[in-house]
Amino acid sequence: MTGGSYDPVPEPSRASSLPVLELAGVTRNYGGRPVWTPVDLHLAAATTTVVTGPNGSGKSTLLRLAAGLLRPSTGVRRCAGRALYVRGGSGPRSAQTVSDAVAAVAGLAGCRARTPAALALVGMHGWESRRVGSLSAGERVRIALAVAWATEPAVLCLDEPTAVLDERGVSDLVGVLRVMREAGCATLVATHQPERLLSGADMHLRFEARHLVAAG
Amino acid sequence: MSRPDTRPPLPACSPALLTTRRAVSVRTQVLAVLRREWAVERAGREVTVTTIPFVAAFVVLAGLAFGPAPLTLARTSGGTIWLAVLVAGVVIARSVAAAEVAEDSWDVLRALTSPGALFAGKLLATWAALVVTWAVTSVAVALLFDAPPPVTALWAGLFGTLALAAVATVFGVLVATGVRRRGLLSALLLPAGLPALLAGTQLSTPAVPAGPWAVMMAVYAAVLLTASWAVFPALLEE
Repeated sequence: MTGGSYDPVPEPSRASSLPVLELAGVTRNYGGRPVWTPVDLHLAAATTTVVTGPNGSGKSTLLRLAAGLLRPSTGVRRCAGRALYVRGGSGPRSAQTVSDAVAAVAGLAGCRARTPAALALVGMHGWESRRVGSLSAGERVRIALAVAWATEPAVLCLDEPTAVLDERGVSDLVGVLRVMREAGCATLVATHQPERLLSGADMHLRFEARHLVAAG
Repeated sequence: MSRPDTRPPLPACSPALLTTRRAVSVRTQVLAVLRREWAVERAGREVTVTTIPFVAAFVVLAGLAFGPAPLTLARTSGGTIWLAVLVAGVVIARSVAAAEVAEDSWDVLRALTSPGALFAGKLLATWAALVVTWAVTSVAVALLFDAPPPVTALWAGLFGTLALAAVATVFGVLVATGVRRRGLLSALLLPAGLPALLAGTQLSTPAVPAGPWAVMMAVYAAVLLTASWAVFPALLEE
């Protein structure tokens, strides 16, 4: 495995062999210089991939590019379905109540009816009438996860979801990632604390000296 | 002091929670964006509490400055309405994208909606806010200046606010998504809105021939709407 190229599915027997995201030789330039060497990455449906690396190594750039928010400077991105990028607790507006905020975003994907189940999934049942702005950073991450589940993305890119989560929050995150995988979602998670997430991950990639390499 | 953890345990994975993904029509997305805009405004009232007091103060101060001669008040009523709407448009334009970027919700919007649907939803929400601002200002001017606007003011209110909504949508995104451009909103929006100010003032002033100004306003709105629709997708690219 060289030059940032990866086999799409570690376990061929899984029902996850359907590729949903393909990055072929992609780079992204900042100030005329590529952030990393060309990356080839294939993500199959129903997989979880953890990306680690030092600050400034390009994890967020890779996730934003995978989600289609950034256009590659070189190379090709192909995605079969909806891709969602979530940074921390981003997504809902702080003035709204938890229920309204999740429903408003889920409505954009035609999934408004999934709001109650999404809130139950992240352990926020009973918090519907609280204002998003009054929640802690960790609770906002839970809301963002509810949004992610409710909108049924084919590819979910989670940027640093663990940074503000307590022990139980991380456990719940692992549970949500498991549910997302069972729903067929390919999840790409960038984190500095991969320990708990790696147990349920299919791949662990790491940025080292501007190269994306398989870790472990 | 930490709060007690009242959350129920995470539910077990249930096949009932798993549904097939569905395609969403552009019309549904536009309505969802619009519905979300109104829900956010209803919850926070950010635009309401900034624009309505502003136009109220503006109209009162203008009345004090131009009055009490009835003829002078009648002549300045149209200009007062449209200057208030144009400046309020700068505040309203901020809600297009700057507030979304500040709250980290812009990326989710971009990911879940097509550029056309996002433009249309934001445009309609901005247009609605400007129409309400125009209506409130017109009523306030009619009452305080004792100068009822002519019927042609409705034409100006319809097309002038549409044109301003188009430029506010584009400039709102352009300015909000560029770190070095954040202070440029008023510098861009006010000059671009001058034709609306000019034609709107003429159409809202009694005894002014309306024909040429009405045509100018409609053409101006059509051009801005078309140009804004064309450039909007490019503004979403990073």
